[in-house]
Amino acid sequence: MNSNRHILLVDDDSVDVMTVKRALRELRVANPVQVAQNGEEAMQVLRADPQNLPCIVLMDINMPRMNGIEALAAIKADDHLKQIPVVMLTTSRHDQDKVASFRLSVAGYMVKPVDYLQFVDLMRGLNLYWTISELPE
Amino acid sequence: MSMQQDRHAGAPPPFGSFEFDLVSHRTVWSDEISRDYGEGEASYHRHLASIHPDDRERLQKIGEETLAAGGAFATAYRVIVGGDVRWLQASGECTRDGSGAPVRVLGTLQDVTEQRKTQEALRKGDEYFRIVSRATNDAIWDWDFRSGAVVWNEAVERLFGYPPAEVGSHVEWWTSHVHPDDVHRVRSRIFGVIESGGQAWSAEYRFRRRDGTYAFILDRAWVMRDENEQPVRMIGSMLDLTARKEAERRQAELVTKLEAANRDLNDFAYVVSHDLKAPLRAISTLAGWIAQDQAARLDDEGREQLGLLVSRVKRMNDLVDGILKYSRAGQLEAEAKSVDLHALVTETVDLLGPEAHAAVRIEGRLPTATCAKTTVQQIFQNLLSNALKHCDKPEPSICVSCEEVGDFFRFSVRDNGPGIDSRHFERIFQLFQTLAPRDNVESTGIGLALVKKLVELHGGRVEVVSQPGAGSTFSFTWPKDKRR
Repeated sequence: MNSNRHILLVDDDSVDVMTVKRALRELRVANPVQVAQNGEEAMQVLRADPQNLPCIVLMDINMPRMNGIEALAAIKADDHLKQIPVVMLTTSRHDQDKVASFRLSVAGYMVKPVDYLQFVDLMRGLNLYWTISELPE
Repeated sequence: MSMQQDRHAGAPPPFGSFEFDLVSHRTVWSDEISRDYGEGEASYHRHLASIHPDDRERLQKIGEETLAAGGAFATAYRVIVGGDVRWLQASGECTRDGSGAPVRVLGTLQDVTEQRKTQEALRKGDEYFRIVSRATNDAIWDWDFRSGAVVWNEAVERLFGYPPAEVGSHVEWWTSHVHPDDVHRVRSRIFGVIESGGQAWSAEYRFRRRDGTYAFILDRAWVMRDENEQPVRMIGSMLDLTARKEAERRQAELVTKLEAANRDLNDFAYVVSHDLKAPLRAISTLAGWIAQDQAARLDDEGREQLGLLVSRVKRMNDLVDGILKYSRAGQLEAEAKSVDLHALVTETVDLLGPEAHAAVRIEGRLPTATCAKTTVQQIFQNLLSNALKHCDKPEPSICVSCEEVGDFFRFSVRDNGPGIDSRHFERIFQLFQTLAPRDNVESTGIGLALVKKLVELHGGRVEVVSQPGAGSTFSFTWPKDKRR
């Protein structure tokens, strides 16, 4: 990633979290990964340390308490948080979810592949894009 | 004599008048009658001879009574003149002398044949009307424009509950019972037809029954006009559609419910399969990592076990996908269109890969049929991939053909595989049934069940003809022209 700051991963499934971490490790992505288990926890974490914001948020959609779309909306509504790029990382192919996300100015929408190797390819692409692309400081 | 004869000459066209003198036996006919019967006593006998055999006895009696009691008589009887039967109305009286003995009979004869015919026709007409009225169960009305009166048949009570005493005799009674939302439309149309010289009128509207509920009515009527095209009379019949409308409404309600249930099932199936597959993904991923990370610590047995673990996960994934497909089969179908099945099957073969391309041959030219493309594609895809998957020969050979059977096409997929024993013929079409153990041939056991479901949904049937060692032919029928 084009930044030294950490990545915030919001996902309630521990194996999915392990998968992201492992893939990033295999890709030698150095950014530390912070994990929140749902949207509510993510908002708490983001607001707790305004000086230490992530460079990117990887957001699952189907989570308890506050799902990914709701969290995305909360981030974009918050003046201090709305510049952080949010990329949906989800199993949902539902059109409603895609439309809702893009309407909230999501920076990307990735569908998690079933196969791990394909997942690594996906993360590779993600990392490459956000390495080439500038990120706000 | 002529004065008395004049007395009887009041009614319109008499056949003529007659006079019998009982003393002298002199018979005098007026000119009209004498034309037929001649003059004199012989004419009297000729007349008697012409009387219809069925009426003779009766006339005889009347004659005797008149002579005995005197006075007037009037009767109708038939004569056969020149081969035709004619009705005559005779009336007259018998005069007596001072001693009371009958002296003369005089009277008139009137040909009432036409009148009788008309009466008979009317009577028959009435009878037909009553029978038709009963048969149709319609409320029939008869509106005389000159008097303004409307007459109803007894169905108005049977259908709407109004006893004769409560049925108004003018058209306002009818209009006052038409539903307020319909009355304006109905009135303007019926008067429109009457005033514009129209002949036939029909309308659907609601009519209030005695109990206050409304019946759905189809009213059809005919305007009768005189020689100046002026409306004279209108006769109509009201058909009670209420039961039919109710059935239609219930059907529409059922369809809505069914559509909702289908949607629910679809959502359910999707969510279930989605949620069932999530842990499968995790198991598969973790097993892969263990195999990778712990490779050094695992012996052959350990590696084999992990391998089996992953394959079972894949199998479960396929089963979940299969269930989802099966449960949704035929539900979210696209509009049935005219599809070139030859092109469709060729495309399906291509999608199955190079192995299919080499093995599958189409015999002749497959027809065009009306269907949803994806449905038929699913059917052929399952049958063809089955044939390929189960083939035990080094060179699989599969042939697709079609023949016409009445209103159906019968499509067949013949293979050179191992063949199937007849005792399995029914079982193989059941869900999750496989013939080979799942470890030998990876199969969900869903394909044929899916084919059967789809084919039967569209009115066709599936069939298998096979013998162990002689390959199998799977066929299904498909209606030629399917209008959904």
